[in-house]
Amino acid sequence: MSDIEQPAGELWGREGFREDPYVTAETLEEAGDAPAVILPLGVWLGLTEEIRNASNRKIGVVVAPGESVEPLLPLLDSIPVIALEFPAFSDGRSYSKAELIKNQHHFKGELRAVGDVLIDQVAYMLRTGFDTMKVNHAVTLNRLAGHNLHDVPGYYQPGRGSHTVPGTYSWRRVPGA
Amino acid sequence: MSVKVLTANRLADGEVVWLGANGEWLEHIDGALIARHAEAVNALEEAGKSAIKSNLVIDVNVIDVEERGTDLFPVRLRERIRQLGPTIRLDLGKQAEKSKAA
Amino acid sequence: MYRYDEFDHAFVSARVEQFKDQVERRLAGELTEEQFRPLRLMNGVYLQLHAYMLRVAVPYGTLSSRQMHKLAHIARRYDRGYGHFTTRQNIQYNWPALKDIPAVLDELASVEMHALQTSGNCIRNVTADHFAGAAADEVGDPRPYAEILRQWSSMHPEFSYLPRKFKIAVTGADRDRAAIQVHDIGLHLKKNESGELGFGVYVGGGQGRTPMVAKKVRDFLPVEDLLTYTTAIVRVYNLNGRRDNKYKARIKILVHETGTEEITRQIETEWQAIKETDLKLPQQDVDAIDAYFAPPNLVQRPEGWSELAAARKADPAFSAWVDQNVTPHKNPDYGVVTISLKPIGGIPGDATDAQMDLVADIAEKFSYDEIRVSHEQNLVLPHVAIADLRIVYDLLLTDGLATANAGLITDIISCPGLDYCALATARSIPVAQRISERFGNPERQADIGELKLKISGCINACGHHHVGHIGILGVEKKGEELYQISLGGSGDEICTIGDITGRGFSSEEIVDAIETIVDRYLEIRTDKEETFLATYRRVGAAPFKDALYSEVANAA
Ligand code: HEM
Ligand code: SF4
Repeated sequence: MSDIEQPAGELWGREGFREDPYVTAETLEEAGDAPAVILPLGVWLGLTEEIRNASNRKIGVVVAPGESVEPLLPLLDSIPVIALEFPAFSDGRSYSKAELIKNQHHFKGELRAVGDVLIDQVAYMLRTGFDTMKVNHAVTLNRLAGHNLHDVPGYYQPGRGSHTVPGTYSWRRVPGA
Repeated sequence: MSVKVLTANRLADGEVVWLGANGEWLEHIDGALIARHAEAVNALEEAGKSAIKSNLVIDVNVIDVEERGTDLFPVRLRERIRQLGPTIRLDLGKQAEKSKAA
Repeated sequence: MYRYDEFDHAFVSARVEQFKDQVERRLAGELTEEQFRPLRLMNGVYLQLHAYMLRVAVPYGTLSSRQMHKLAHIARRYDRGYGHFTTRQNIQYNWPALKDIPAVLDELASVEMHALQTSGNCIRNVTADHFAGAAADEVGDPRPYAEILRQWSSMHPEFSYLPRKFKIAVTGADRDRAAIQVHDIGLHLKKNESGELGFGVYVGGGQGRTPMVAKKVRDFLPVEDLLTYTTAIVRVYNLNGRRDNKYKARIKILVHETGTEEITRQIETEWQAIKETDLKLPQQDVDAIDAYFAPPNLVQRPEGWSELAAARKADPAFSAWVDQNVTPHKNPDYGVVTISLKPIGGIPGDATDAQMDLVADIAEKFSYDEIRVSHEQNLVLPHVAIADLRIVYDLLLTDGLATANAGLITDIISCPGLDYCALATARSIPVAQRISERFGNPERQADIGELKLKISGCINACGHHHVGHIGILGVEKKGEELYQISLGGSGDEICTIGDITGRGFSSEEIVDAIETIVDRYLEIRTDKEETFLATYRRVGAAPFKDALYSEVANAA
């Protein structure tokens, strides 16, 4: 587990920064009576179905790059948030996991990127299916605050948050939902 | 006996430079600040770190050189090539400027 | 050839603007080197020994005259009057100042070129057969598919932070001139029984410190599945490739450790899930890209053959050049001309600004405006009328570009080595130069026949030494340069990794050692038709080792 505890208010999404309703904890007990909590994958998988689906609190899961998301795939409907970790910006495994979770398996909840995110990666994350990010990189935070996503005017791949333009090649897209 | 000097590439244009005894980054090894004992080497390393911080140079390294009379002669071939230029293009690099000046 | 549309132009200029901003912030001290390094690498900017180096992509090795003139201009204005053509069909500039690089990128963008994805752990510049669209033995032109892959891999959101760099090569003929089996993905364009085009798919080849020949994972992949299948391969790699050790991070290690059968199963499973998605290629899109690569309208020039016969008779040097450097074209009135960038004793792959301009002018007049860069570090004029060979030869001769050695022992591939490269352990260019001089006599090299000699200045193997018929690897031992020899490598359709002969040779010994090997070959070949590689495959390493380690030892 990497340290993803940050002051509230640093969760970023397309609409800007907002307060993070979730606390991160190693176990459910540690979370006390927090109404929304994110647990490590192993712990989350060990919960009973009853606890996971309890209506009085939301229990999300955080997945490290080396962990497989396979066991989550049949359970996606019961997960409010999946956080994929980026302990180092150069570790790109979580992009493929985002593709699997969001686009191949149609996860409806919040997909979150946490960790070392470079500003140039934010656009990639949005396109592979991330909804939010919790970033510890100061430059990135500054640029996000300035709404500068370092994006390009067109993409050569299908992906979320983009649409086709008639009359061009099937793999091309332009930004905008 | 080999002694040490500090070398780097200049940020703006990549030019090979050595830290001079005068504290400036020099384009030629002559006049480089020479470290003859461990403490002086530490000082070179510290100077390197602060040079990186001040964004003047990159790829800073302490290297071994031999003193031959008044000349400084880098021990490794790699460093001799950095000092002079490509061995296969004597018209390029510092060796060319030197011969032009001569 | 492919022309940018508005979409491409907007994309590339946005990237140039971004990089300009980044360079300015770096020079102003707002970005540290640590933050800036990945950004500059994404734009093809390295730091070498003497200066920065800019690596410019030449997608699948195809250039127009206008583009070549621009490369010449950049060499003249921002560099030291030359550039280095590489085995990756790129060009590298060895002396640009960081502060000038945004301007260079602007210049490149004005002729539809860039330096994107020439570095970093992303899908790199896609390479292809340098005779594409011209060679007589071609099944189909590989470049439209390389172009589709180039577009699809540009700033790929999922695949820009792979475990390691990723190289794709495409060939359009059974004769593999693109070395596809030493690439991460190799695609062999071919026809099935019903005459449809598709690909044989190879995965997990590579050189570097652990050379491996790629494994075939699919015998025939329909064209419409090109992007879905490639996505499946790269996704399996991205998720499972090793990230704990840089030297084990290439897909070749994953394939090796997982086993071909299992990796194929994983790829197929992933593919089944995405086969029918947006990435399935509509035929109309393939056709539209294909149209850019329509062969030029070649004028009939049947008079060429009789003129050629006369010209050959009159000038044996010209005749030797035709034999060695002209390859059959699809159209019998035409030939494919290899311009050797390996003058005897010269620096392999280097071309001056004047030479680039000259080649651009010749291509404009005599090769339908097309030039290719080959992975053998030569240039190619793909469509030259037989009737124009003489004049083209004469023009090339004016600036030292008519060396008749394509495919011969002096047509050496050499990486920059310790003369430029920050990772090098030994020099490679001077060794290439001395070997070239030793064997430079035209009769002697012609007698030796086809022999691919390749040199790298460190274990990274940029000079392809593992697949050289004779490979040389420069290492550093006790502060001295030492050269290891390997024999019997080959990067074509029968791909093999060379075998190391034994202890290495000093810089003084290495040229003699190569001569010893060549002399032994000449002694034991069955006849002149048996090439060095064929002889090696027949007799193995023993006769060569004998020669090397007895004679050289005795002489010493
Ligand atoms: C001077 C700057 C260069 C640097 C820093 C560099 C770096 C590297 C490294 C680290 C590898 C090993 C990759 C691995 O095994 O995972 C490699 C491989 C390779 N490089 Fe370079 N290289 C440079 C220049 C070149 C040049 C000039 C060429 C072409 C002549 C080239 C073409 C290749 C090829 C063909 C390979 C082997 C194929 C493979 O990726 O397995 N590189 N390079
Ligand atoms: S093989 Fe080594 S020395 Fe040669 S270019 Fe590659 S990294 Fe540099």
